[in-house]
Amino acid sequence: MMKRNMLATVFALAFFLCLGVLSAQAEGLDAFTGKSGKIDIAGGTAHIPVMKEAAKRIMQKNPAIRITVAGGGSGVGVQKVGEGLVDIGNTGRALTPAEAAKYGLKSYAFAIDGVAVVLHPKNAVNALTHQQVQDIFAGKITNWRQLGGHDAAIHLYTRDEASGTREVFWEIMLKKGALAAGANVVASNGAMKTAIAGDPDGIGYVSIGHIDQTVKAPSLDGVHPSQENAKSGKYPVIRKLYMNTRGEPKGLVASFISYIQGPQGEAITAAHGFIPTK
Amino acid sequence: MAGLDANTGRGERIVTALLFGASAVCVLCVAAILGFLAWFCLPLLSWRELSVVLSWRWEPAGGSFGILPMAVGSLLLAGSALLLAWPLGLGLCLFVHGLGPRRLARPLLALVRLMTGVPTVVYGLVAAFLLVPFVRRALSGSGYCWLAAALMLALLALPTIVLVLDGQLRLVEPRLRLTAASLGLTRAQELLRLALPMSARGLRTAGVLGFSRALGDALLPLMISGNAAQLPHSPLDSLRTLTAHIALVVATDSQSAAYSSLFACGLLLFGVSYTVNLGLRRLGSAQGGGATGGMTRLPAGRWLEPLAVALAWLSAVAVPAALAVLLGYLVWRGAPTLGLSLIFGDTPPLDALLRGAPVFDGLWPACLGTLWLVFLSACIAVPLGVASGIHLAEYATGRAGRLAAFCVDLLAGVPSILMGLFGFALILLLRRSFWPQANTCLLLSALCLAMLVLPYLFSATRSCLEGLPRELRLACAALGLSRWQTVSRVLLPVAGQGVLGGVILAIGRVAEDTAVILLTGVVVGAGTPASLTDKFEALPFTIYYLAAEHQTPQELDLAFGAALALLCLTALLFGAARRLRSGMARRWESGRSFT
Amino acid sequence: MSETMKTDGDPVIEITDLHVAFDGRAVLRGVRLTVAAGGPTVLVGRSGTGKTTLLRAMNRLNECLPGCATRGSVRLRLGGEWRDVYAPGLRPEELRRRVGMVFQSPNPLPVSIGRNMTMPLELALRLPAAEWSGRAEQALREAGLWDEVRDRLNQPAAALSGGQQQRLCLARALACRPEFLLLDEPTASLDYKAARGVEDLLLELAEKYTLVVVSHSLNQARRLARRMHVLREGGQVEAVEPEALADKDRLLAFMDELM
Repeated sequence: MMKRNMLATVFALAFFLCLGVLSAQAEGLDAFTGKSGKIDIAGGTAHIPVMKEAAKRIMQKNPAIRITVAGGGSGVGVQKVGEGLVDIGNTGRALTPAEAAKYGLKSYAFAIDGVAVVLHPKNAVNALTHQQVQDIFAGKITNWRQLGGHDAAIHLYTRDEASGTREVFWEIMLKKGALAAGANVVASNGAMKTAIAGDPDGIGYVSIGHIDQTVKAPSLDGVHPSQENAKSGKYPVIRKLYMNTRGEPKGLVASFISYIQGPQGEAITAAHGFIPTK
Repeated sequence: MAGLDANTGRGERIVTALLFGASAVCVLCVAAILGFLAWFCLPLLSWRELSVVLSWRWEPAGGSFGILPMAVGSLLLAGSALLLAWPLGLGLCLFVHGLGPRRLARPLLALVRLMTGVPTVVYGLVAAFLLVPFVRRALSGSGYCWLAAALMLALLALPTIVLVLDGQLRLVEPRLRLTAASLGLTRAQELLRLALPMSARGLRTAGVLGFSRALGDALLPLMISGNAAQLPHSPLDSLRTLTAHIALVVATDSQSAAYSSLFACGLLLFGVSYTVNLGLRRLGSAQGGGATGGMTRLPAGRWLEPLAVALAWLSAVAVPAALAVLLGYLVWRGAPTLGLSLIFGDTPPLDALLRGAPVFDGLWPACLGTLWLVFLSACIAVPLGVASGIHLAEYATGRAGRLAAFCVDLLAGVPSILMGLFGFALILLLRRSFWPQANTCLLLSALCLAMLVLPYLFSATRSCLEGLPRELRLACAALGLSRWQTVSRVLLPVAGQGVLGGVILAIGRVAEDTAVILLTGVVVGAGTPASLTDKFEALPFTIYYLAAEHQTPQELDLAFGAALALLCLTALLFGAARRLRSGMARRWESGRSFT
Repeated sequence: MSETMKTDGDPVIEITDLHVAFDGRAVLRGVRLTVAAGGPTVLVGRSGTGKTTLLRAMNRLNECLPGCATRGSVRLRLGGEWRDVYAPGLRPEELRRRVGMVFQSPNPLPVSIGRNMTMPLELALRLPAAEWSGRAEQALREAGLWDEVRDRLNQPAAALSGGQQQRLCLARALACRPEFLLLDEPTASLDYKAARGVEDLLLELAEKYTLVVVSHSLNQARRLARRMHVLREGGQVEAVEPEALADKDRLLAFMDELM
């Protein structure tokens, strides 16, 4: 009897919770009711989970709206929105003044994100210094034993040149230092995580929002790379995630940007491991 | 009854004009692609720029745009893949043609045909999760390396090699069989001492086509070769090919030096591929034409036969085993996910099918996208390819014919990633000139894919028609049939099998291609395609994306499910085309009622 | 057809100064030949003298082979009037329909027996479907094949024996009701009995059509020929006198000297 009551209570609670969530969702989506059209989004790969989730929620409520989401990297984001091939080009770094001026781009930040070194969870190394990271990626440290780990060659993974994550990592973490030419190149944050999760001797770097139990992030100079530390400024390798448009956003695009920056978008952003900007 | 004096019929003239038009379109396509490559390469045409591009360092941030490591990487990878695939292919062919038990010949050939239908992205997916960890554990390094990519590319090129060789042996061998047997030669002796030396041309063609296939592939290197822009020092080192390089870098600022260096990559890729093709033809004609042209002498030692038998058995065991492991792994990972929710996610299937309800977390939009791609590019490429094939085989003469044939050969040498680059650059150009609304979309992808498969259709049609005996044409002419009647009513139905074979190949290629659509409009999430100018999802790309970017183990399972679904889809397409073919042959041969 | 019937012996084919070359290699050089109605008229000559090319010049079939260049005049009496076969306005398809041809080796189309007969009727003559079967049957009867194939019209033509296939090809040509029939060693690939059957058939057909036959065999030429021409290397054509045809020994001596 007790059991059944408890079950009923749990169900009721769950029901009301859902209801609450649903009604809250509907609220943020009001801006889209009755509208139709399409939004094409491309660029930064760290953004994809947030964008896909938002797109799904909007399209479920408003079948007349079509939102397409593609990746490619921050470079793609700038290029495609600049050429007008997409409506919103995402970047995981601030635009250079040249980029902004050349295409007349407007940036809208919606999240703070750190970039952290990641290792395989079984790797015995749990802490690295800034200098060690630079030496590893420059190819000066080549064995995990030199770092107190197991005796195995270090497998370097880096990102392609279009990546904003790479640029932030290179500028802040590596201080624009050398990057070993032999490093494997992967095309996205997700791919980096997959590669490191599969390689016990691998080392790479991803957006902190992408870190889950399949990879682990060693502390950097004693600071654990978490979004909290990133937000507070204790963890130094941080950037913002931006949506960029050519000129002032209008219509649907404007609604989408304010949806992402609004309470609904913030919830999605937070749920995917990023810190919403205020 | 038509009078003796009436000039060639109007219908006949229209048909001739249409066929000519098709050939002209092929020529224009090639001109357009080459024009684009050349035009975008123009900024590099100065010694300073050229020395920047033709150098050994790629570091855009440091102003180094050298593409030589990638060029060497491409050649190394394709060469090593060929070194693996060619002997295996030869062994398999020898096994099928008599060095192995006859009972196994048919199933083995069927298996090889099946291999032509396995999408590249499926190989890539399985390799990334099976071969790469295996190499890492068994040998050393990260596993993403030259060796892994070479193994997979060998598997990719193998069916091409086997089918070309098999075709050649089928031409040569029946003529020899009885003679050789009556002279007391064993089957192995006949094959090695007579049939193979007479098949020199086939052996070379197989090698060249296999090399082109390995050289032109973008996806496998992208997924498993590691992509480091360096010269590899060992097979366990990471390397980057030109094709993967284009895919990785196309995303840069379209007015930067990195961007124009891409077209240099394209030109280089195209040049290598074409030189190899040209070399083949030169070699072929130098040694005298005909199937018997160019007897190659094999060494005379007695060890040759046992060696060949060993090679035959090795390939006959190794290739099916490799395929069984790969597909077995795919089924093991993918089969549990199969079900309606794989396709439709959490949307009720009937809603999605009948009312077009949007599907999230399911493969339905990607399936539809792929079907649309296949349909659209078939609509463009099949009439064009078949018509130009007919034109060249039956109508074209002299210089115009040679030009068209040359252009189609050029087109066949264009790797898929280059076709994608062309599509992308085309859109940029259109936007900047007279069509500012142009955008990457379903139609563009279909167009580029159609251009990609045009040579398949063209060559299949042409070679089938040209392979028919001249007596057949004379017989028809003597009966007073016009040229078009002869072609459409007698020659095409006889050659229909081969033409349909080309169509099947083309469709399979469209369904599995990832490199072209990667640059011309495919996206991660777009819903079901609503119009031709929309961006779209497609199965191969979904697999590629999920393999790299899965957020959860469930999403990875979805990738395996999608791979299995794609495999089923291509198998289904192949099956349907096969049925169509046999049905067509039956209907034609029995003729209309005659009572 | 009555207006096209000619009295035996009137000339119906006139070839003057015919040159044919393939890829620049001359096969016929200045051939002159007159063929009279009826026949059979037999062309003999050594191999390589261009007998087949000469025959194919009469229905412009040489044009279907690559690298062919033809010069000179070939005039045929078609439908009661003289026509220049190589005149620009003339449709080769229609010409070939009126000038039927049977090849050295049987060349049935890779379809059923029945379809072999009806396909030219449908495509070249554009007859309505209702007339096909009647015409086909008549032609098959003429070729003496009807009783052998009436029950198996839907089977592939390739299933017939060599002699049957050749008679099928003959019937196929007859079904179009040609005015001329060109036969290129029609019995070369047949055994003795089948060959005699075809020969008897040709003699019967000569009553209705103008027959030009290329032959290799002296015996066959003697059995068939009402008129005979010898084609020499280089392209001179010599008529064999009618008296010579009748006398076996004289003919033998003559042929020995010629060939």
